[in-house]
Amino acid sequence: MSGLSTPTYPRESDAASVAPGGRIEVRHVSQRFGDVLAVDDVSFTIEPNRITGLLGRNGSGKTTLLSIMAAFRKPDAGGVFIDGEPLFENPALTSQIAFIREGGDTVESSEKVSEAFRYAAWLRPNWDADYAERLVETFRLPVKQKIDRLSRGQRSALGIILGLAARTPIAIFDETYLGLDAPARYAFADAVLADYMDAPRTFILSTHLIEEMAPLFESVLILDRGTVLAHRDTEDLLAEGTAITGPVDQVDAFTAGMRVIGRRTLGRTASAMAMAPLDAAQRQRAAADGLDLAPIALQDLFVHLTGGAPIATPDVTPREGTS
Amino acid sequence: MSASMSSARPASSSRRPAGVGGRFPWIVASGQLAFTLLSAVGFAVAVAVVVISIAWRSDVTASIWEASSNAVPWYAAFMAGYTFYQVVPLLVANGKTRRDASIDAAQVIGAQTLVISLLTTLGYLVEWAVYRWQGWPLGTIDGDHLFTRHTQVGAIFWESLLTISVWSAIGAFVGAAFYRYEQWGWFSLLPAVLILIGVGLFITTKAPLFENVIEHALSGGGRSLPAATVAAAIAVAISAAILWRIVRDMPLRRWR
Repeated sequence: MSGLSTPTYPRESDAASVAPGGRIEVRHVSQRFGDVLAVDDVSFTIEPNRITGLLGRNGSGKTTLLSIMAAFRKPDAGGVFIDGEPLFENPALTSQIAFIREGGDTVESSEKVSEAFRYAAWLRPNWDADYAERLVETFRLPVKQKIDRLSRGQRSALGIILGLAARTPIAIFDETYLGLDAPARYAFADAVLADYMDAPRTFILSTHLIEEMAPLFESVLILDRGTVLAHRDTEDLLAEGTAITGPVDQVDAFTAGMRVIGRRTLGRTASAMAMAPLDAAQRQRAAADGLDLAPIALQDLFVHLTGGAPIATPDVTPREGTS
Repeated sequence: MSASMSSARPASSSRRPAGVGGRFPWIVASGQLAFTLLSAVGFAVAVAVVVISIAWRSDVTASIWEASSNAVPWYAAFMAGYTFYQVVPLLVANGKTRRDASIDAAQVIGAQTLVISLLTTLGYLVEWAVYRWQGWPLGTIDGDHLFTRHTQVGAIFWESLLTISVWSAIGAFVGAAFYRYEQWGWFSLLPAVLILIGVGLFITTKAPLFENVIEHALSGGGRSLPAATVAAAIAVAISAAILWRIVRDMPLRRWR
């Protein structure tokens, strides 16, 4: 790729390996914008080398929180610490974090794509030009194009390449993939996973495309109205709910007394989402009743936890001749 | 310190941020200096056209470069403002601290100040050569300067350096203020004007907007190179303090 040749300017470090991410502690962080309390006394810890999904409805404070976690913003109160050291204005730590916001706005838009890579090669100690080149091929990014002439999807791809090829111990993507088409989104998920397997480090992915990205998440942090609603391992979180599928009568009888957050029916079959971890006896009874048990979908759980629209849908009765 | 970040340390510690015993930020400076040199060529051509136009109709009796170079401090201020409006946030977004990014920017602006001052001085020398060649009168240079003749190269360079330094420092905090406070950044022009007026007591800016005010202020006193140097140093220090107050915890905003 002509635009991605070895940079003219020397890198500030020849370190090629990717160091693992540190333990991120967010301690009592608050951020206010006028009358709006965007982040309200939030505390949590992200263990190193995990892929964490940050979920939240619009205006829940995700971007503000991530900006603080990347030292893009100093919070009104509290702070972020990595392995116990304060992050803000700490050059040893800020250089270890890549934060890519939607549209990849860490570049000057009047420059060419290749110029953005040249800057990254200079600024990022672990910049991997070969990897960037492969990603350019994957996302079909025109490197000679000026950045302000890229489509939204191409700009997202640029952000993704800058974030991944920087090979920082901590990589944060905030809705970076919204503008991508489906093949490119799958390519992003594959790239994150492959890169993670190759060199484990900390990824934090904020997304509204929950079901699409859910398989990547080892842990999930749900933010709502500036506070942490849940922060758990994905498996543990999903185990809190169960999808029960089977004959309508059997499902209704089984879920009587349970907190059902969603219910769908198709003819004589029903599927109910119950917020109840099932014990062994209940599972045996379900099997005896011919009921199928499955983990609840993360997106359904998210909608329920954030008080969104009811998941229950109108009964779908097959039209005559189609059953 | 956990094992994980301990292993991360070598990568970070081997990287010496520019400005803290690190490398000069050539990647930033080269683009801006190239733009400045191109702008200087364009400016020189424009001045030459003016000189030729005047010479075509009448005698050239005054220094055109002296009058034209009033625009130079404005250019320097704009470039310094651009550096803090556009480049510093970019550096911070790519992992630099605000402090290191500001030091990088200061180095670039310093280099640019030096180059612009040299080019301004060179302009006087070229004008001196052309006037002698054409037999045009080379009288004393009008206006409030630390020099009176084209051949006072040292004084010309020093005055340019002081003037460009002050305007660059002011441009830097105005640029940072517009980035941080957006439309409220206009309020940064108030301290900018006050500093310029203050410095105008000792060195001329020759900027049309402030000329009358400064000339009025100058009416009671003469010019002194040491006083001008001290005044410029104070102005740069005040500007740097304002700049750091704006930048030290400046949030990075989302580009539209």
